[in-house]
Amino acid sequence: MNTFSLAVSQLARRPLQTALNAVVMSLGIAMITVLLLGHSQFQERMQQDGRGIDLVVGAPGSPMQLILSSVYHVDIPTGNIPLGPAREVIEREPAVERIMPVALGDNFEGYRIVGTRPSYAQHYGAELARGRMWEQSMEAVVGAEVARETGLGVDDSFAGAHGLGSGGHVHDYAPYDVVGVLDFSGSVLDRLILTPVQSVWDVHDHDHDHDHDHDHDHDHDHDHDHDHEHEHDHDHDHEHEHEHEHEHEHEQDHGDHGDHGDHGDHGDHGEYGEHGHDEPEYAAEEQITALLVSYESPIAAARLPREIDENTPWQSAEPAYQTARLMTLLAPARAGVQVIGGLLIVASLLSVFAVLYQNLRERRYDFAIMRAIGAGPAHVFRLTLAEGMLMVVLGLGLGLLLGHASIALLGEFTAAGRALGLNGLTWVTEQGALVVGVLAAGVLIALVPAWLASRTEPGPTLRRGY
Amino acid sequence: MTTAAAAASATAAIDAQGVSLERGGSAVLEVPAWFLPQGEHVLIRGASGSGKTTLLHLVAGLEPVGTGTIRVLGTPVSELDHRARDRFRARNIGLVFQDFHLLTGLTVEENLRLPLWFSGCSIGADEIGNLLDRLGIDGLLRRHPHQLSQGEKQRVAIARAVVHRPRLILADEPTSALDDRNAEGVLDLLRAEARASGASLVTASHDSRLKSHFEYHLALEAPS
Repeated sequence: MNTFSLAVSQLARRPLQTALNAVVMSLGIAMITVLLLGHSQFQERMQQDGRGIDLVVGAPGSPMQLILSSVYHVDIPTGNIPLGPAREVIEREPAVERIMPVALGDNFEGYRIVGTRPSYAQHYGAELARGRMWEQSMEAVVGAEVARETGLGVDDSFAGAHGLGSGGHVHDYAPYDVVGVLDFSGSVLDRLILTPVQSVWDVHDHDHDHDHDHDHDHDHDHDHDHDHEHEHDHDHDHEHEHEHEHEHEHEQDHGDHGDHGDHGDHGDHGEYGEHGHDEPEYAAEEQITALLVSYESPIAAARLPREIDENTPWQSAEPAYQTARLMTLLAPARAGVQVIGGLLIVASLLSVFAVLYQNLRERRYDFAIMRAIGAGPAHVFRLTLAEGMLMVVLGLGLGLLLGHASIALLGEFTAAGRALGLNGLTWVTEQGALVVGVLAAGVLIALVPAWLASRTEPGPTLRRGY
Repeated sequence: MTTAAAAASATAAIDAQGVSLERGGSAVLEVPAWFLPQGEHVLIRGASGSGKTTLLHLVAGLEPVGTGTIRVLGTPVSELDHRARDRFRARNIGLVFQDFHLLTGLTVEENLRLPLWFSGCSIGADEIGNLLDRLGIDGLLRRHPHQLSQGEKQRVAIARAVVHRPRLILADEPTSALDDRNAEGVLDLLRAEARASGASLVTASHDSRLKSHFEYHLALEAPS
């Protein structure tokens, strides 16, 4: 027998009170734990996926939306830009190291199909687990998570669905062939399907040829950008005379807004590549979602964004700045959750105090008996302290468990959680401070009742009989 | 004090001289000179309010002595500070209360282990088993006090009072809550346990049923 087992027995005697206390405290602890873990993993993911991408050039709109859609692949794009002219402008800046195209528009079972170049995979240090990189249009390399979740493997083929969420119109006449599967890189690539930009153009040209019978009101396309995903199917048959008004507001429709009469004729555009290669040839009407730019030297930051924003119809956005802005925007929400979690913890600590204090009266006689059969004041003090601490530790342990489990479940079962790569098995230093702080508060809270309990006078209490 | 008396006092279970106690200005206890040889059993008699419980508390060191001196097992309890009294009580004294005073949140076994923990005694499991056997409560270890009959509770209380082998057992009205048959049985058990461990036994009771069982008596009268 020791203080601990005795304290456990005492708590077991009032299971409802103990459980209620533990639950209230655990809710507070869990909220703050989810907040800390979520924030740190979110930030880490943002930094990692944005690493080395200094500037994004895309269609005008919200710069944050541009970053979120083309770097982090969470929002929908702001629109399209013509690949050729945009590249030309960027390449005029000598301090640019690398330009990576991103052409969005389709998905497979909710995973985005990204038209790009092999340098995009290299940028994130992705290695092939199986197969090879693509060599021609309609060949695809799938990310590790995509392969795991959808079962796609080398030599499989699949048809992309229009839009960026699952459930769009399926281009079943244009199946992709999987030629490679990437290893887990812990980056956004895990959840992407990569293919040459040409595939995206080909698919949509094909659509365009087949969708002439659509008839719809263009007003659909003037809604704000976020609504466009559902209207995607209607976007293919604009009258060409509307194109200039709509160019930047449409959900990106690769290649079919431009003033190009010959939809099938893309075979002759050159491979556009790293800066410094021979000037590629391209068809002016070929549209992509964005260009991701890496600087060779920071000096580019002083010139290129201004050049884009002032002298072209497109916009530039800096991932570092936009993610910092996003964090600032999220700060009040974080603070709110933090305050609620903190209040729950404070409430539960006060309730621990109330329980111990109330016990003083109810159990004075027990304490007196213990004193009579040999307990010293120190035994009574330690016992009361241990009961209080045990209640705190129960709530704390339950809360941490709940918090980590929530993060793990979010990471497993929600799209946003998967996108952020939430993982319940991490620990951040702030949690250590939380644990130490709550334990210290628990000790302080229990000290006064413990001291009062230890001062129980056995003689008078026993004589009185209560 | 003569040399012979001093020698006798050193081996006395209790030697009380001129003990009295006042509370709130009125006398609550006056004890005549009282000497109990080690190993003997004594019955403290007296009406309600005569200070029986208070005297037991003074002997047990639960309350400071007002005037006079009490030596228990040769130790001047009346001169010890409260810490030393706590230690002395934990090691040497076993208490049985009128209302059993088992700790209700704990099992019978936990109740029995408390005095061992407080006194730092280690008693072998088979010795505890023997004790429970003798008291007829060996099947009750996992039970809680509220699951026991009055008689069972009192036997558990006796076990708790003697488990750490105290040299002095103090019993306050141990039989008043029991019927004749149980009262007799409990008294027999108390005396048997005291004899088995060579402990002295002080029983305070106004229960006239007990009178004939004791050779030594101490009559207390309420102070005037």
